[in-house]
Amino acid sequence: MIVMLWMTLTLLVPLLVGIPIAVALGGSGLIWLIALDPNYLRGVGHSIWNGATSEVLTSVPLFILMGELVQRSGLASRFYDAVSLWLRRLPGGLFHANIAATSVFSAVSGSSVATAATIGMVALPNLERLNYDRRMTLGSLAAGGTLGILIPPSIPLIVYGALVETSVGKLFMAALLPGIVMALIFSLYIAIKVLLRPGLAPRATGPGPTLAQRLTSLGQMAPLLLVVVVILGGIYLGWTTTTEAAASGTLVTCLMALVQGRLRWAMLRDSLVSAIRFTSMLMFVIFGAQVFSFAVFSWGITGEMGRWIGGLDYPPLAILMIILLIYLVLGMFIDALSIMIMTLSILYPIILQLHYDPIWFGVVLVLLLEIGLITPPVGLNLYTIQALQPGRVAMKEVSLGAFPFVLLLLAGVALLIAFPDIALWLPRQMF
Amino acid sequence: MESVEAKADPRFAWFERASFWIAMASCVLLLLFTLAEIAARPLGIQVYVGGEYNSMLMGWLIFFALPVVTRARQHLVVDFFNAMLGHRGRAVISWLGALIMVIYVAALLYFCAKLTLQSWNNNIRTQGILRTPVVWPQLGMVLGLLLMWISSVIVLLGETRDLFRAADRGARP
Repeated sequence: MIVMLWMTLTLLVPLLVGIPIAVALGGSGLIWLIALDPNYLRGVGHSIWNGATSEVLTSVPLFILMGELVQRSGLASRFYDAVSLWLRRLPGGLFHANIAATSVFSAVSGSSVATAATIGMVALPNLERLNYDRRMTLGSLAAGGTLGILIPPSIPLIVYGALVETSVGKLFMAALLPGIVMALIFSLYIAIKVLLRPGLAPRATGPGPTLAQRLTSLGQMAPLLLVVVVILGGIYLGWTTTTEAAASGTLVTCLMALVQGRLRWAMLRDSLVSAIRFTSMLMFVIFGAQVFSFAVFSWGITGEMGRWIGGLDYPPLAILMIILLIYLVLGMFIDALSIMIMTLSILYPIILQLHYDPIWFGVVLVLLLEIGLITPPVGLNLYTIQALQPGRVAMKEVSLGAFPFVLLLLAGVALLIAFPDIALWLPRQMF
Repeated sequence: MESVEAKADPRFAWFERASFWIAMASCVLLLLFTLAEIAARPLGIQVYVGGEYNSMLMGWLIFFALPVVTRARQHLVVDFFNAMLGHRGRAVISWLGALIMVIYVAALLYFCAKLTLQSWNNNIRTQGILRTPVVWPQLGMVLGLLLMWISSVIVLLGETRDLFRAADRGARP
């Protein structure tokens, strides 16, 4: 137990000081391996090589590439325009379009920041022009963006699956329903709030859209929906592996962009560069985490933790709550993926010891990490939305706008704890 | 999203750009092999290259992109507490981070080179039908890490310069 505390300390100090996360993880792991027995260092090369050639993680660059292509080809912005035509008459009007568009874009992106930035860029000018409440506008966009890491394909879920050796396909299916439920909860909250305070959103006046306009808008929605169907349908029916689904999605996105006359060489190149850089950066952190996990395992901490937890006189739910609280606090300071990579080697065995389902826990964990994206001081989505209007929006305003959605996400976590089948029902129907 | 300065930024040395091109080619091949596998399946044709080479390409994609990621200082950091420090404090932390990065990458390079040598000596091959020697993709890993190490040394030199500048500024009345 004392070793574990020291280990945590040697990791946390360089981490909080600002040393790159990958180096803090890997360096700390190396030091502890030397302290145990330098012979263990032989395993480091194997850890790195196995991590780099993990079959599960080959889907990561392809999913990111697809999200980049969707973003850069304008498919997402056209989808937003089309959705707003259908939803603007609901109480809350375009706020619902924010949530719906971010949900669907999430299903082709896997990144929260990309989701918030892409939809925010299109939505903000429209909402401002129509005098929608500023705080709620910013909050709904920041919060809608968080769905990017929950609704599949989700990069954190792929990483989670790879780290704990759980089926990514099942994780995707498990996250789908909670993702939809969260989007519905967000929309319901918006509708109720606008009904109580009609000044938050202007009511749509004048004649509604014509049949021709509606049909055109369906055509604008179709490409993105087709990509979603190809990805999720392939995985659900067992026709494609996660990597194959990512490749098919990328191909369909390219074809859709081509059909719409938006496929450009520069766009392809920039998307590729972006996807590769992100993958490389992420994988370097994972290598560090693997070295650290190797050290944790070699010191026998995993087993010791299990025994310690087993001996505790608390109900599993109480221990789970403590773990969730740790993630909630860490989420305020460290970005979502890094937290997951850093903590799983220590906390995941505890979850297994408590007999919680690994698939269910993956979804709960991602939902918790979403909260970190919209809580200050290190809420990436808050910064993203703020950066869309440089100098015009205060961080306080975005944070306050997003705060009710933090509570809704917490309610979502509570819902998943009370009714695990929200996550587990769909994976059970698979294959 | 991220900028794409890697493709044209003159700060990046030729070897970093060349390395990044290999990473890009690996990504495109990864995509094409996977698509070929999907397309061939209904025709009853087995495409072995995808299953066998995809994970190797993934390795190349990661390691050959690392030099540019390192030079562009895109490694993830927790900068919340760092941001509270003054200019000199931040310069010291950045220098320290760059120094530890050089040592850490050198250690990884050593362990990975050792693994590659072992694979070469024992003629280790993949378990798939093509039985490809593992040493080839592993050489890519070693080369990528070597280039990354050189890039991290360049970053360290830059950070050292910045550190002295920060110290000068502090010493000036």
